[in-house]
Amino acid sequence: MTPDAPEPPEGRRVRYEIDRRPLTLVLLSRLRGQIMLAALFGVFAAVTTAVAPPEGLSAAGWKTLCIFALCAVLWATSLLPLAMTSLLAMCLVPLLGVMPAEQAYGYFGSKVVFFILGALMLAAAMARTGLSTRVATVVVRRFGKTPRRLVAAVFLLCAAGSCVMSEHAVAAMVLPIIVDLGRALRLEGRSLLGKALAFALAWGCIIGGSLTVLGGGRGPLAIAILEEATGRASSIGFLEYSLFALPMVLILLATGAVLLYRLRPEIADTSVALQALEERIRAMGKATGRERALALVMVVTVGAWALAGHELGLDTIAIIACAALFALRVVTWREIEDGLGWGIILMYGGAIALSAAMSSTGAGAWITARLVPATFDAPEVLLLSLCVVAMVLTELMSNSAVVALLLPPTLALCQTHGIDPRAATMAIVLPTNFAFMLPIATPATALAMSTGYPTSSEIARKGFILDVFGFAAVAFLVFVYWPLIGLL
Amino acid sequence: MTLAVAQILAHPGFLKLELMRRGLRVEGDSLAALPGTPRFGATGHALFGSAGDLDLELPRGTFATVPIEPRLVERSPYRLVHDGDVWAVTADAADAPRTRVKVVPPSSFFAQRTAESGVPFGQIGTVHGPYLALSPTNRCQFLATSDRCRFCGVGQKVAAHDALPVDDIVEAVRVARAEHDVNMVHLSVGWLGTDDGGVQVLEPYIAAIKRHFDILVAVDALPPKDDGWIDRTYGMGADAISYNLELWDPALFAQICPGPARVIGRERFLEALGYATTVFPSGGVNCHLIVGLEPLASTRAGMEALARMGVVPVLPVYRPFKGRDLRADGDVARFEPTLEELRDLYRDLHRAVRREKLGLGLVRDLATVTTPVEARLFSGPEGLFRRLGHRLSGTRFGRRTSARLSDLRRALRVREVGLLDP
Ligand code: SF4
Repeated sequence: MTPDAPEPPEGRRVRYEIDRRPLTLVLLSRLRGQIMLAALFGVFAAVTTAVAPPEGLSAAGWKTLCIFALCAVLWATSLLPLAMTSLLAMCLVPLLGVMPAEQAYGYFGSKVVFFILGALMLAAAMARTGLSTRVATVVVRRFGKTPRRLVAAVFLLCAAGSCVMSEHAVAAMVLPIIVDLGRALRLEGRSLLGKALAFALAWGCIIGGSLTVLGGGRGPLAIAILEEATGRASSIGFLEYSLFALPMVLILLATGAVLLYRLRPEIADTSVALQALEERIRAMGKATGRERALALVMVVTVGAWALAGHELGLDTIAIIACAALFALRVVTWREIEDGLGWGIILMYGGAIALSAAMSSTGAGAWITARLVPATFDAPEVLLLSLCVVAMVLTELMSNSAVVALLLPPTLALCQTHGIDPRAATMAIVLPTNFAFMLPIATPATALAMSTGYPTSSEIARKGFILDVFGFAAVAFLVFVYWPLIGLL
Repeated sequence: MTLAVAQILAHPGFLKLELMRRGLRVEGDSLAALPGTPRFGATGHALFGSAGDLDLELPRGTFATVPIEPRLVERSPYRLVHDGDVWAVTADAADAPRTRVKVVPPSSFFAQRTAESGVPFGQIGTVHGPYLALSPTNRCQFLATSDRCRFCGVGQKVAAHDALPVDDIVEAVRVARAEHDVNMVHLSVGWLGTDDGGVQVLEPYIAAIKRHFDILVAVDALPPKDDGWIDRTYGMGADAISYNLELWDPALFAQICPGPARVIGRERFLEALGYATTVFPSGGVNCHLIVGLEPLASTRAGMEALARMGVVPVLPVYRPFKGRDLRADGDVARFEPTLEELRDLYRDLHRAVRREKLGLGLVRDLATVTTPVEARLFSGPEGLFRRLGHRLSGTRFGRRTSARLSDLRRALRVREVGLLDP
């Protein structure tokens, strides 16, 4: 602007983009969500009110099935936020007379919801105090003496971290370290070391998150659905879960390690990167009192989950641990409140209510009896085919949504096919974590891609290899390992 | 003039042209009976017409802003007469019929000043019937140089004002709307020496107007250096844009508009107009070509070419008493058209815009020029549906609806993709 030009009055300076497609097309694409929602709810209303229940299914079962189908589409398409869909399911169940409102909303009081709440609060405390970042930085600094060891340190750190906190939180925590390393080592966009670090982040988080119920919400959700469906006759403990999953995690860790090894780093010296990490650590100062206190609470909590989870309940331990954090003044309520994903908690409450309705009305058993071909009579074939479905779905939708979608009807099959419901639960929940191929599948993959090193096609290609090995690992569990430990 | 006076008086299109070109005498008791006192000698934005003009509504909803100042119109054959509250225009010929007209009372807009900066509204714009034009800044860097457009009257009678407070402009719109059925605000800006064509200066005003009123906004500016600013002009709320080439003939353009020709260039005008047609709604991009400052064939060629590009040509007739009088400039040729030539030109204009299916709703009711919509008056009888459509779109409901539809189109077409760097 030349000195003579008048100064524009203050205002917001927005950058615009013009959509030049024909207006009807623009209108349709802008309103696509609303149009689809209107159509979906229209069909739902018509089917629930005008279509008589099929033979063998009660009216309540039919309505539950309709709600389930509606939620399945909403979960798969994200036309509504996942949590909103779950809440909707919870209110539709009493609205359509499937069960009394008190009962439907009562499922929100499930132990699992409180376990997830406690675990998320602990994770929020780790992020808030900076403990998780400190641990990650120190570990990478300590073990990353060569480029390969640097990659291995990130891979194993992510895997180990995802055993005790949500894999999404671990990925978000390690990402800045990778960005720092890339910057310090001047890694270009096509750097193989850069790609290896990004893949180590994504795969470490995904694989490690499969080992314990703490890796994400899907494990606790699956256990809650299992307990509701079996009238609490069956459940999976903290250590049991890890025991059932261990061989698969080891196979995937080995596969990931081989794939990472094949990405030959283009540099030999990591001293600059280590120096950058050193500076990071120095900038953080010495561990604060609240970090130390939190570390202590975390060690005790994980120990209690492992040793006394069955007796005391995972949820009770989690909540007591949170109370200890407040008692020790490690965090404030405001800090926890800001870092908590309330949507996840709401989602689980609704999903559990819906799965309980599916099982109590017989809708789950009815639909699976019709959907599963008679040739799938063999339990192993059935579980593996469900595993494939879960693997495909999880690339497209949230892994918890896949659990909420597939597990209730699967559990309904267990009795007729003579399958231990715990095996069915694990056969669904483990592959729902195989979100290796698409960045949309899980935040860990999306964050890895955001580093700018791996391209989406590389993610898809290598992810496919991991998916294949993952399937092979589940097959190993189903045919060899679970029968060996008496689960199948 | 070979057209009979009776023919002219019976035809709102001819009558508007004649009254605007030659003026209207208001004498004796008619002058005394006029609603409000005419503000002869009043200043106003020279490009738009002045506060001393009289606003008339001629038959078929045709608005005209007519000079009545005795000094300018003493040779006009047309007179305003009245019978009580009933007003008519007639001519001096013996058997001249009377054409009933509505006299729009002079706007109190011109008598008021803005609350915040105290500038008289008349200095920042003009209101004539449904036509409201405002200039948040009348500073133009060509004005004090030899680059000044030769016909331009800006600053001749009015002091320069810089970017006014946004509230002043909002207040001007509110005052004008309180008295008139204004459905479009024309915001104009000259050459500010910036690459953006003045877009950044206008942005807060447009945003504020859109926030307060259901109203269309047209921007009258010089083309920006790059097309991103045109996206921004539309995105920030402008419903129509004018990049006025003024003369189609390249040599005459360079002679009459030396500044725009030198700094922006004819090619960029055409390029920007073409690009704007891909952003603004049909009929939302227009370009003035002044009739009478170049051969009619050149104006006609320009009109056809612009229409083919999707640009609505607006053809104001050069009026020496509006803006600056070029009659004394020996180097400027004048090509004063006859009324028949104008009739044929406007008829062809109407055909061209219809042929190219250009929307005309955004350039209606320009009381100070014969609009392409009014050009229909020269192209024979209209079908019932077209007449009804025109009537409906001229109602208060129609105007509001067109503003809302235009906002809806913007909401669909434009996405905010972040903030610009400070
Ligand atoms: S651009 Fe030309 S017409 Fe417009 S204000 Fe400047 S000199 Fe006058």
